[in-house]
Amino acid sequence: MNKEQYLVALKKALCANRVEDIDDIISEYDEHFAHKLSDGYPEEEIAARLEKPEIIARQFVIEPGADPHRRRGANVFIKTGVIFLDIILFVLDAVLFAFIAVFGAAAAGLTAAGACVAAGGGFFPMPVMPAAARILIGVSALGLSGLVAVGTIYYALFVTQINRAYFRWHRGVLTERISPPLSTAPRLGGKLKRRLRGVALISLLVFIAAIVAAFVLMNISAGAFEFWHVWHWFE
Amino acid sequence: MNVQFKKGVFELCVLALLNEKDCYGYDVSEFLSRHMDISDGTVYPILRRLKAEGLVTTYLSEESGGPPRKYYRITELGRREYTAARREWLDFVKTVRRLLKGEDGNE
Repeated sequence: MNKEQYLVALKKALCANRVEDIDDIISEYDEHFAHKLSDGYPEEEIAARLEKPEIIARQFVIEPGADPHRRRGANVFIKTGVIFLDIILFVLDAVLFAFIAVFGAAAAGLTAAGACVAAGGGFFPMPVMPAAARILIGVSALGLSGLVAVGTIYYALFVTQINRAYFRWHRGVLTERISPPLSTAPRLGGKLKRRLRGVALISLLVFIAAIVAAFVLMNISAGAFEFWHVWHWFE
Repeated sequence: MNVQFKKGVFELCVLALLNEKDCYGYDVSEFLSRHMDISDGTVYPILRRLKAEGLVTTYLSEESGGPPRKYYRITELGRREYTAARREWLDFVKTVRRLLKGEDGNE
């Protein structure tokens, strides 16, 4: 059995045993292969020394009450307390989720506004300025909208993750089912993380470059640093 | 030897290692399989069970040039549990040894 076959078989066996956090477990075995391979062992030998996937998968099943003296049993007071906690947290959670929509709307609004301004106004009453400066300001709004969009995605992932972690903890208190606690920080795949970082960085650069360029352009075309006086913006 | 019995001893050994220093999963697997007759893959279920019981916790550490590694660290509860289990085990072994010696003497 090579690495690929072993990991596929393990994944299948874990699914069959209804084990949670399968990706996490698979990545640990993947890492094990990587370490052994770099030590010069062939894949077949590493797999053979790991033990059969079916046997490993069964060992991941944590039987409730297997070790009763370690089990912190939840009594009726704790259970009642958890239910009250749920009621309070439900309200807080609704607000947290609502803010995803707020941030999302901000990103969408900035995109629309930026596109309108860059394309030549329309809905946006813009003060007097050269057309090139207006386009640059529109582009900078688009850059800002990219930043807000990435922030929204991170925020949404974070809110989802703390909900999953809370749910896991909640189930652990109320039932006999034992699972390791989940981290409250979302774990992004390498590819998604790099892509989001790339978008954020480009957006930031576009925002700064466009706004600085617009400012300089307006200085030059007005022939003064305080171009807003020259064009009577606030009168 | 009884599998359930062995499992408890392996857990104790993993806690002993983590009591010394934080390790990533592969470290623990290497440590155990170097000293004991255990298949490499058995360590990860043990670590997960210890985590579910709150005796160890994990954190990600970014190494230079590579994906982040998952490190295991013993918790305060784990330390207490380890100290108690260690004493229990050593007493047990002492008694067993005495009994076995007694049998030797009778022969």
